[in-house]
Amino acid sequence: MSDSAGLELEPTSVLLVTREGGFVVTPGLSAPRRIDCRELTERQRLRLQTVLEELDHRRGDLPAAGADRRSFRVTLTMPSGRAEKEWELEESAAPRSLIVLWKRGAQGLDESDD
Amino acid sequence: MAGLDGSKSFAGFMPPHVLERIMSHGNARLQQCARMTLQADAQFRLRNAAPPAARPADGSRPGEVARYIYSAGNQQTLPGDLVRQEGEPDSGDAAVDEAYRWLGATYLFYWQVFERDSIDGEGMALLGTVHYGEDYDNAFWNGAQMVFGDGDGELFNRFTAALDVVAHELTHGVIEREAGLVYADQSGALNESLADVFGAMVKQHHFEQSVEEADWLIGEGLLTDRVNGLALRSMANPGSAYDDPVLGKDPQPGHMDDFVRTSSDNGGVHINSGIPNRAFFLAATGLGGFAWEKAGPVWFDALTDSRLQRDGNFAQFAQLTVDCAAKRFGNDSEVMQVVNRAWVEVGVLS
Repeated sequence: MSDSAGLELEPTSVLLVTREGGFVVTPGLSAPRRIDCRELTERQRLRLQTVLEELDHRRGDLPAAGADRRSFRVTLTMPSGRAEKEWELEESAAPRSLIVLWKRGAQGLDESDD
Repeated sequence: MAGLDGSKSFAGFMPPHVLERIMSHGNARLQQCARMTLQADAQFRLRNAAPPAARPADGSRPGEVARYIYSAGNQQTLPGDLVRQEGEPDSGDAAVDEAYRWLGATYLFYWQVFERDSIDGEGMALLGTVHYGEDYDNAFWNGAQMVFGDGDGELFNRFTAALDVVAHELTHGVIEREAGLVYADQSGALNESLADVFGAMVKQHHFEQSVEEADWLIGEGLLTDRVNGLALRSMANPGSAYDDPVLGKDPQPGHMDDFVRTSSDNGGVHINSGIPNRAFFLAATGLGGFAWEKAGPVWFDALTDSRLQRDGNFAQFAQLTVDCAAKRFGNDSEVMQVVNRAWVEVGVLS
């Protein structure tokens, strides 16, 4: 977990979105979804910025009680040398925008807000 | 409480904010310890916090199940709307009626085989929510109830379709009440394995299958025809359940030589569970007959043994099953020897 206050995505930032856990754990579904800012339009990058800011407001929900619960891990690599940032969220606390990002990758950034 | 090796463990208290601090700033090992402690603490509090009035009525007498099936209506709110409760006829909704039926079969198994009255041994009402989320590819236990998704129809069918999946989730409740196995690393993989072991036995019990007749698959019927696979896990041959372009290849090991060290999936709890799963398969098939007659009671005795600690590992649990086999069937009995051999064969005992 980290505070992304003041965070600004750079044109070469890379985001990894991983869904972990659940009754079904397979290598294919556990592989991180990679979002490379170099491949995004300006609008998509701004939308991604909003998604990351939203993550900070939903922190602190791990570990979830029970078993077979799923969670999301989001890792941001800042190529400028700034520290890598990471968020972990229990599935029910994850914003829809993050789930769409995991399911559809960069295309999910073209969808409307919640 | 004494450990299996005779050592003592000491109860302690560390304020949650300190644990949170460790989670934020400690090294990787400390973070893992803090995570496990916070999780165990959350489970403990959940077990003791729910006010009775917040739940529907439990079974009125031992041996009588009390089922409540809810629909989340494709939202993610729990428990959702009550759509069928004990004694009511089929609803016509396949997921609702499967959940009702399979929770009943699981209750019956625990009652008939072990005289256990529901999840807590005291007739706890069984709450199941279906139609959870949209295209939701998962089933889980949240500490108070079971939850089932409809699947996406592309890769997965609805999760109520498989009896062993429903029984797996209910068994997580039993494990939580009995052993409270921390859901990470080896204790977490044991937790997962026990849920598979009893899930498989419930299925065999319901369909009256001997160990030779059983398929020893977990989640058979869950994968759609588009997926190249039989099920989600194989207890007989871990690592062989599927090999598919989208899902990848089943990563489960069946021997300690292939134990997977990973930080994901709470330390590989759904991956390394293949090792104790295979041990149970070897014990059950080595003994023959019905799994719930010999191997099953040994595993149940170990699960409910006060010596099983919350952070118990494979070797400790294995030794406990050998001790329980000796206690139930006699020292140097065939059961004890077969159980011991099973753990040796998967590399847990030497």
